[in-house]
Amino acid sequence: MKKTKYPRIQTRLFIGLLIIILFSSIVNILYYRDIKELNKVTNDIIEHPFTVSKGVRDIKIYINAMHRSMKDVVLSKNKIELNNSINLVNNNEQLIYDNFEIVKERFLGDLRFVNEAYTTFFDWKPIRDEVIDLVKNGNVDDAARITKGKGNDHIILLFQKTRKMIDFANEKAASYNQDSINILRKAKRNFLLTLIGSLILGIILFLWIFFSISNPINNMIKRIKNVSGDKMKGFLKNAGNQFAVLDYAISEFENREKILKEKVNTRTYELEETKNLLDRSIENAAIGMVTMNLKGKLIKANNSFCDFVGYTREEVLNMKFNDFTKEEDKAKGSEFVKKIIEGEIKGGSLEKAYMHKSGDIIYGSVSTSLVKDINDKPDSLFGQIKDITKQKQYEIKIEEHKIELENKIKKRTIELDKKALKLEKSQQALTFLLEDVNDIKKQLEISNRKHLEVNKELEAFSYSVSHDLKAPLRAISQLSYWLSQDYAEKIDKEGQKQLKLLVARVKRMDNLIDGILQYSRAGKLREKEKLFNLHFIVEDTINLINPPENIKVIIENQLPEYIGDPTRLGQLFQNLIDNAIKFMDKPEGLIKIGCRKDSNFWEFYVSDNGPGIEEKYFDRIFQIFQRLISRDKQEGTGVGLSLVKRVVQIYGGNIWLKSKPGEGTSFYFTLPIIK
Amino acid sequence: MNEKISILLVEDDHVDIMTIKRAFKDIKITNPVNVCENGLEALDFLRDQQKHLPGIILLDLNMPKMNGIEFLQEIKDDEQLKLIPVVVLTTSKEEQDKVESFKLGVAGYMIKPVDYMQFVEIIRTIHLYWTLSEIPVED
Repeated sequence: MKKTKYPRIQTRLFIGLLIIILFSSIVNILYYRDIKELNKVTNDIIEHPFTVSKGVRDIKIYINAMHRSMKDVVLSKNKIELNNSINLVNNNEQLIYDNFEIVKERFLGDLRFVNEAYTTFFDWKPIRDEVIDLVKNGNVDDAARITKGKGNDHIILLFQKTRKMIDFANEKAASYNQDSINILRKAKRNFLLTLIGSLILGIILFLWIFFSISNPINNMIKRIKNVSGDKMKGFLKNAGNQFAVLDYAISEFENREKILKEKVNTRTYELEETKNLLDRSIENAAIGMVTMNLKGKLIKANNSFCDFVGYTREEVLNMKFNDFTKEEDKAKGSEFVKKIIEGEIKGGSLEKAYMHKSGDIIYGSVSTSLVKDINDKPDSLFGQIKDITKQKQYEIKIEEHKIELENKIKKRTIELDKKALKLEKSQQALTFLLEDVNDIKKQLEISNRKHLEVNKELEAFSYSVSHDLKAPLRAISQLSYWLSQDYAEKIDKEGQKQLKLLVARVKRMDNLIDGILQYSRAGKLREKEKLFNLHFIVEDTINLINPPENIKVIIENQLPEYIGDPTRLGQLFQNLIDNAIKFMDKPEGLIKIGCRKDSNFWEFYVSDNGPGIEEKYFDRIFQIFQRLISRDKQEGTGVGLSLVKRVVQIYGGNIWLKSKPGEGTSFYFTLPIIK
Repeated sequence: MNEKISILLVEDDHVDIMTIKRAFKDIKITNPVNVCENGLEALDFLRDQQKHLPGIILLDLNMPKMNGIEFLQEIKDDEQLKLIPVVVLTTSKEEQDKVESFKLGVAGYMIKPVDYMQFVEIIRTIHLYWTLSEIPVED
């Protein structure tokens, strides 16, 4: 699992908040400073340029007003006007004075300018009083002269004196104005900078927090996806947000954990059961079982072992394995255990002699195997000790018996040898007999081969004989025919009749020779065999024979398919049907053909309602050239049935007949079913 | 046209020769007939007659010196002779003889019947065959 170290989300948010507070504090401090500065400048502006400028401007105005009022005083026609004008002059004087007070208090420039102006203003008072007194006293002309002269000069002086003051005030106001503009510009720039800064910082903070939250969540979801496999696929797409997925996954994991816990509980229970069973099995096992540490000290031992050595369990568990071993076998036992611990041998069994507590010698077959700990280091040894004491005792007895038996066998062997000698002799006799049999067999084979050769020769002979016989036969036939034709006039009726008979006999002989040819051909080896439908063949044969109208030939059931030479088997049926037709003596002839299936052969029959055959002729009819009716009465070669029999025999079948004279004949024959 | 061509009869049985000639006469076949008594003789005859080869050969199979099958094998290797149609006229009904003959390119295979009238029918059939069938003619 990839472990990426991320601070906790709260920590991140807290850090983010701190950064925002820090940043806003800095901005605030900066602004406070700017605002404070601005405030000071504004104050200054209000304190000085504004008030002072106004003061000096008012002073100038009121001086003018005062000067005009002074003229009104001189020009007043009566007392009331005079008083009013004096009041005006006084009021304006008072206002000038007040403004001077303000200016004096606040003026930032050289105060000498103010003081000089003020002194000049102060110097005006005697002139004013003098004029007013003169007017009061009715001395208007003097008053007008003083006003125009001395008064006017003084006013001009006063203006001169206030001018410097006004100029300074204006100058000061302008410079402050410039300052405030600068500060404002600076404040604007700072504001812009902080705005950009805060925007960038804000984005960085957002990204940091965004990724630091979304990355771990997405990673988690990816891992959930991997773990959950197909189950989550649909859900991940459909879920509104990651938290839904997380929620789902957590509940899924809770379920799994529950299932796992149940499984673990079940398995733990099963394991405990198994362990208990194993413990019980070991405890109650028929053979002794012990566990010992690598030094050979026994840690566990079952009942059988304790019984075997005759010690109690407490005693056994205080002993080492070799403590039970008989002195002579101790070295053997230690060697065996050492080899197992060192891994030289995987385990195995060893027969040892033990000492029973009672002092008896007992025997055990011990199988030891190494038990390893989790780290594959040898931990302990597990041994199974089978009590073979009885077996050992039996072995001793068996040994005794063996010796006894061996003696008996020796005695018996001698007897047997004698008998064997006799047997050998008779065997030899048998061998001679076998040799004789073999010789006879060989002779038989030779004669068989000779027989076959003779058969072949006979066939060739019969063939060539029939063949060579034909040529002269033909000559006789044709010559006698021509005689009867060419010399018809010279031969009398009797001669003609004899010639006709001659031709007829020649024809019969021709048929006989044909018969022999067929018969000899039938004797040839079976060849040209194929699978064919016997039913079709028989149907064709009947058509070929074309029986006369008064004789019906019917196939009663479906004939099978058969493997053989179709021509030869067709010939077989043809001869039987031909015979039936030829000898038919009833006006309505009926010939029936059919078959039935037996376990390993087909049985066929051809039966007719003809004259029938007497039983004494049953054998004779199958012999070649044998006939029951004279040839002159019924033409025939006497080959037909013998040919039928030959064919049936060649196919390994049998032929027989049933007949009642006057009622009809049934020929039966079998053909084996070839598998 | 076919009337002018000659017939070669290869036959050793004199009665059979008589029979065939008589049959020719009976059905009015006037073509010249040459007779050889065995294959060897027939072969000599044919090689001698280069210019006037027969139009058809009637061949017996069972003959001394050179039988019919051997004769067929001989003429099969001869560019000119193998063009002459051969009809086998024999007593042998042996399947082997039939197959062998047709393998060697015979035009027909007839069994000599015992009965003369049947013999005549056979000759009539052969005659019909060579009158109707076109036969290669030498230039």
